[in-house]
Amino acid sequence: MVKAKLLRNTERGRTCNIESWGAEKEPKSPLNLQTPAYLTYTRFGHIPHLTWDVAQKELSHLEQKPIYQVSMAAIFECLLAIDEAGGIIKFASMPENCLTHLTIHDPLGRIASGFNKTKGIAVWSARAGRKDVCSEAYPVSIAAVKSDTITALSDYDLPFDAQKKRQGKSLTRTKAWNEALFSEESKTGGRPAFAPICGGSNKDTRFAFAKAFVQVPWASGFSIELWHFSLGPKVDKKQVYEKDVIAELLGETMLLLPQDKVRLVEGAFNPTQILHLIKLGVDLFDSSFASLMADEGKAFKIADDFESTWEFSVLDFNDAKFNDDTSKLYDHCSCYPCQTFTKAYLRHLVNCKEMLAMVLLTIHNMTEFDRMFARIRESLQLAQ
Amino acid sequence: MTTGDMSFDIVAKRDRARVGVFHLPHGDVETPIFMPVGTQGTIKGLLPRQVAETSCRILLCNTYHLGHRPGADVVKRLGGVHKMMDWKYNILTDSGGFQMVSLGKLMQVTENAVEFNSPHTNERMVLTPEHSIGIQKDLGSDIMMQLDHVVPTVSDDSEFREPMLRSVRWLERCNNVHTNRDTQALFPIIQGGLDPALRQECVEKMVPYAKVGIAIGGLSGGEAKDGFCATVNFSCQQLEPYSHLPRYVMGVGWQTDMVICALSGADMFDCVYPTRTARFGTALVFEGGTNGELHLSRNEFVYDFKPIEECDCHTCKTYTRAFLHSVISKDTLSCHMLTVHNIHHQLELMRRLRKAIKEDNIVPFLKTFLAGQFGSVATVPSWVKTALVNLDYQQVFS
Ligand SMILES: [Zn+2]
Ligand SMILES: [Zn+2]
Repeated sequence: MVKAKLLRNTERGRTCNIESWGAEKEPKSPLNLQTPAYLTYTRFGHIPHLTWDVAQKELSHLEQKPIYQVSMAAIFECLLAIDEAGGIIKFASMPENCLTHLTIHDPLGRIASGFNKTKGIAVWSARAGRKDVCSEAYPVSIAAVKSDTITALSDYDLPFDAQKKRQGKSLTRTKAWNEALFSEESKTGGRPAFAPICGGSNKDTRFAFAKAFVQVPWASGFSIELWHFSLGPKVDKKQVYEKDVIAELLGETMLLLPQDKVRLVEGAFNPTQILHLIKLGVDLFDSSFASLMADEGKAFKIADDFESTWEFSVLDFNDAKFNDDTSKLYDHCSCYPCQTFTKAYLRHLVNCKEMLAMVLLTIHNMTEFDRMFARIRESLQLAQ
Repeated sequence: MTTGDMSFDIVAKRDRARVGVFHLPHGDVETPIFMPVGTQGTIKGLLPRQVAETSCRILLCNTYHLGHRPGADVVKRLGGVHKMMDWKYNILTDSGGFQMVSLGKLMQVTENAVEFNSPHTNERMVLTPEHSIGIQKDLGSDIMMQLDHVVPTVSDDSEFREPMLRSVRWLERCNNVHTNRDTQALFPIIQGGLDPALRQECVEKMVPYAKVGIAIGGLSGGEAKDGFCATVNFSCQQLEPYSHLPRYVMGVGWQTDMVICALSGADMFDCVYPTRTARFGTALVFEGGTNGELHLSRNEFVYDFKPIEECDCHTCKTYTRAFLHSVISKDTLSCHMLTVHNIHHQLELMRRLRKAIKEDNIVPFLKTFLAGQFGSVATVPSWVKTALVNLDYQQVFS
């Protein structure tokens, strides 16, 4: 299971110690991961643009022990081969014995509106298009991937314009799918699951979800779905992230969730939004924001007084103003790109659409994302 | 002879083929050698460390592209192209002339310069021999190429003499502005189409300017393979009296072409082939492919958990064909993985070739190599057989 212990609860957010991660019958090394923390976003079992050779050598300085987030959307086309290989770790040559989490959507992939059905969730991949994932198909994927934990099924598709009836249907479906999924242990292999707290932008529906799942025995943690508010570039019917709206939306729901269970928000959120969600009581995120920035030709840095101002800055190498900027990328950062390359070179690579741009930006952005979480954890130690 | 003095030591010679060590400013290079192409000052998504790990010690950058973006002045201010891209080893730059032929519309050659419309800005550009050397000096490459007048080899024979003579005159102009001779070498480029008399005349006129090395140009432009092989063979023969000059055949990168050229006496090759073909999911192999290529997007690889081939590269040590198959064209990953392997493969081929020359094992090497590329020695294309018989390797086929 995902065994967590609440260490501190402050005005600025919680800090927990996650003592173990994964099914009890397949124990891995003790975790002792402090939150707030993040799942490492992957596509095809890789941090995007980094082969494992590069990831292991260039990101060896990251502070947090990684838990790799693997999404169904990116792998369902090769599920049989993954099964044949003996799991995603072997198939994608991920580090031996690393921790993995299986989720439904690729936070940066297509998350469409209007395709979920009573029998299943619509999941999209670049090549094969749509696939319906239901309580029959999901166990097959879980068994093939062999992740340590999973996100449970949910009818996430509740954009701002969803009618009351549609919201009710979402809860009914989500309950039914998960009842079927968790009816026998064999379907999930006893893997700890994150129960869905959906409800779109309707507070009452959120609360109803929380009530429905707060007591289920299989919930090792909770997955608070905020896809529509995320920065995911291919999410349908997106909404602007407004702090007041989100605070109002999640307020009562968060109070209902037990203190010793981990709360996960998947999706791309910027540093300011992450700090805000931590304040609301969220413990775990994913690193898709760092990858999104790299995909867009951008590098980011949290402000020196990030803990108080919640600010961060972005270097956008699509901008010609860096054409002859001979200064290095970031002085404060110890990553290889920052120590080595100039802004003019990064600009040149982005300008020429060279793949190395995304490689270098991913290395920096992952370094900064990890440093940001270390800073946040540190500041929570000191907070009241 | 020492590191960095740009001398060339021949350490073994067998028939026409030779193994050498080229002492370049950024380290020694063993020849025959393949040079991968990093057009924009980067090799297709690989970190410089990864390129070096394929054993690559010299790569090529394109003067035209870097002159356009980020600009020669910017590269100069960044400390040169080595520093800009964090590459510790050697770099060869082309003259920029060929890119204009391939990129520019309305290309026109006058006695003074190549003129063309920029494909980027559509402005009229003028590239003189002096300008080309000026850019290459700013880039700071170890080997600079002269500006030459390239005429496609598929043109009419009568069109080659004047461009060849112009290339000689341009070489003299390049040479006049070539000042930093301690850190940068200037290679002349032999022209003359497929005509032995013109090639011979060009060699005679250009050799006096060749202090470090020399290139054989104007080939790989779609000419028949027989003509290509014969011309390389003939040009190398003409250069035999000047054996201290490494010979660079431009634009050659197919495995069989490199082997034939090296056995004719050529030492250096470059081509976008291994990096370009990586983008389309093709791995280069010694055995089991089609003409040395494995097309990993094919369904036969869905459950193939073997590496691409027995190989020391990171890709083969880490990944299976099945994984590569599953990510081809979906992400940059397969491209990185195949680029690492394909460059490593070309350099491994060069290593095997050098070993065969050193150990006087060329015939057994050829038998294995050709059987791997074409299924069997009996099924090699006729131009390959002709070229090898002309080089006195008929034993391979008996
Ligand atoms: Zn950095
Ligand atoms: Zn390999």
